[in-house]
Amino acid sequence: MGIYKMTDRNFISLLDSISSDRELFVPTNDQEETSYKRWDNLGSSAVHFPKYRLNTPVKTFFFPPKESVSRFPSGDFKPERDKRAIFGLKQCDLASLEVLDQIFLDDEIIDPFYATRRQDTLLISSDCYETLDTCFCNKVEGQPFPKDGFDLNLIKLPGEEDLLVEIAGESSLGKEVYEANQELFDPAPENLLEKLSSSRRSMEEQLDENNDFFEIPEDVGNISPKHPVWRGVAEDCVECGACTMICPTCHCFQLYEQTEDSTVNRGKVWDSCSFEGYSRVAGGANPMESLESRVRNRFYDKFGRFYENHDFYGCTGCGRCIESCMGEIDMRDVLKEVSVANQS
Amino acid sequence: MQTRAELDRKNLDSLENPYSSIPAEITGIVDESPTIKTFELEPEEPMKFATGEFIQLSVPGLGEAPFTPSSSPNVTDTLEVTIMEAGEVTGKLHNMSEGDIVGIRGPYGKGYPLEEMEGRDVLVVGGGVGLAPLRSLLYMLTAQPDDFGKICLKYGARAPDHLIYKDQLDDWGSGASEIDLELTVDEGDEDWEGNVGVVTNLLEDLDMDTEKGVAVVCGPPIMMKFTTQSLLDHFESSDIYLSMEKNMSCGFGMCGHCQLGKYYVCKDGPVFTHDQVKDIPDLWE
Ligand SMILES: Cc1cc2nc3c(=O)[nH]c(=O)nc-3n(C[C@H](O)[C@H](O)[C@H](O)COP(=O)(O)OP(=O)(O)OC[C@H]3O[C@@H](n4cnc5c(N)ncnc54)[C@H](O)[C@@H]3O)c2cc1C
Ligand code: FES
Repeated sequence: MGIYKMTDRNFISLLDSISSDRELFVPTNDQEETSYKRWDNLGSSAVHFPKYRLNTPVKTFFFPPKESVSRFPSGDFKPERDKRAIFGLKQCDLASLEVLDQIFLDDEIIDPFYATRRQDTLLISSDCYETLDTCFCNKVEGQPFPKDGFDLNLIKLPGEEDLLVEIAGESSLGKEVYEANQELFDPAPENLLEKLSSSRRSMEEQLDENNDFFEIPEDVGNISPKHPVWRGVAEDCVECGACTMICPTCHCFQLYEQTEDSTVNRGKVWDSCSFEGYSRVAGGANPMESLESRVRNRFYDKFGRFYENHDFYGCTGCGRCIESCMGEIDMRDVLKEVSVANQS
Repeated sequence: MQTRAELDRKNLDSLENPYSSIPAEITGIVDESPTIKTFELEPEEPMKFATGEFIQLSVPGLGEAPFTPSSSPNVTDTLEVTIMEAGEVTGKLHNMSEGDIVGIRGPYGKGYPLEEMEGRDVLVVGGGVGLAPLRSLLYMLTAQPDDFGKICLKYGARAPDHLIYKDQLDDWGSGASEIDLELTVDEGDEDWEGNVGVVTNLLEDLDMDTEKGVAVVCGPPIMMKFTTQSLLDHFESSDIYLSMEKNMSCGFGMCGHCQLGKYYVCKDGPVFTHDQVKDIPDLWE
């Protein structure tokens, strides 16, 4: 569709217009870049453009920590339909949805709960204007600005009054918003576009510099389970599962059942391969009993299994796992150690 | 995978809910061994499956466990599952009676590739309750015996009273059947006159065309491991079919639990060729 200019005031009008027929979630700056809040409880002064990704992984909107998925014996249980919009997503958030799409929108079986939320949610992204020390999207085929996967990309370059708005070509929702609010969009001036390119370049340079100390090794799925690096990681890991809960692409869950009156509710709750019981089978046998086997599974999964099956990484380089780890495990250090040993 | 544009065009209100089970009544129970029972189930709507595909069976309110039907896919109104008591769900199932209602969903996974077996000799090796999915396969092989070469079944169990499907074993062993059957038990009793020892003992002299044949194995991990080692002396790695058991929750590639190397056992298996899985570290752990 193209790129446009939008005044600050029109931006607020746009959010107002979107929130008139969707539940709109926006980042708030009342705490440090942490979470999304509902726009209609906030007032326009509270909304801000996050510099980098929020702490909350966007998966929580599409694949909540716990939800009901079925009833027995009636079986009739359908997803509720809520039109939503989320503003403030970064490229790594969009990339995480691409990973989850591979899992939940399979050719043969579709998760109707994920799918309806995906269909009903307008995604409004924005560029990164700063990077965190933990960001490494550049190493997993990402970049600090949205390329695709968004409906609208709203860019507010530091020091500029006006915004730039990109509308994704293939997005029917983006087009809908544009058509309903055409008067808010103006032609984009050349100088703003040039500034955008240079801002994007400088973000990329910063990421390259921050992360020049490691590479993602080839064939991570085939790194020996006996490699000493895993023992080191296991020594630091406290098995809290924070890395998997905060990870925007971790999608493991467990189904469970509960009876209320004479109806059985089946639910889905997040699970984690860091937990000891994760792969236990009948009779108590457990292929991932040792902590070592569980910590390395995370690497095999994101950089091995997922890559082999889908041709892109199952990690978006958002760095949330690094920030959240009580044992100070940094995925990048582990990958570095592994590469060095792989070469020798 | 569906692209976002494809998804946008889809009418999602008509999507099936893959998490929903349909009620099925227990219409028959056979005591097979001290720890194994076969349940005949009559689902509210018939559930078609191919041999080797599995279902998720739930004890309503308690939870689910995966089982491979042991009956013939050609029987469509009912299906049978043969279940060893191994824990919570299976324990509760063993205490259920005819007329009780369970939930089933599926079928899932990739079953036995019958087309790969056409015209070839087939060796079937089972251990313990591992004979369950193999019985379904054997029903299919013997339904059209002319399509396949010689069919040999080698089956081992802990003790004579732990051998399951005793009536069928009598039939298959009678000489009137297309199946060439050999049995063994780890430990005999006073009445046992047959082989004593592990099932791999039966694999040394195989009276069949192993070079062009296929082998199908299902049993406990330790039995699978040694059987596979022994079969590799006779068969191509890509002609040995193994059933892999992993912890499962969803059954269709989303919950992550059943990962095995680059595969999900529920979706890419549960039947794999040895060739597909041989390089996976700690395969039998
Ligand atoms: C593809 C496949 C086909 C199979 N076919 C057969 C067959 O034909 N016959 C047969 O006898 N066996 C078969 N099995 C094995 C059978 O599924 C297990 O014996 C069964 O799952 C044991 O369940 P349980 O609850 O009785 O055992 P438990 O030991 O109680 O549970 C085993 C595991 O299931 C999970 N689990 C159990 N209860 C709960 C709960 N309440 N909440 C959350 N998780 C729970 C846990 O992860 C637990 O570690 C098959 C397995 C697979 C993977
Ligand atoms: S059982 Fe859920 S992914 Fe295989």
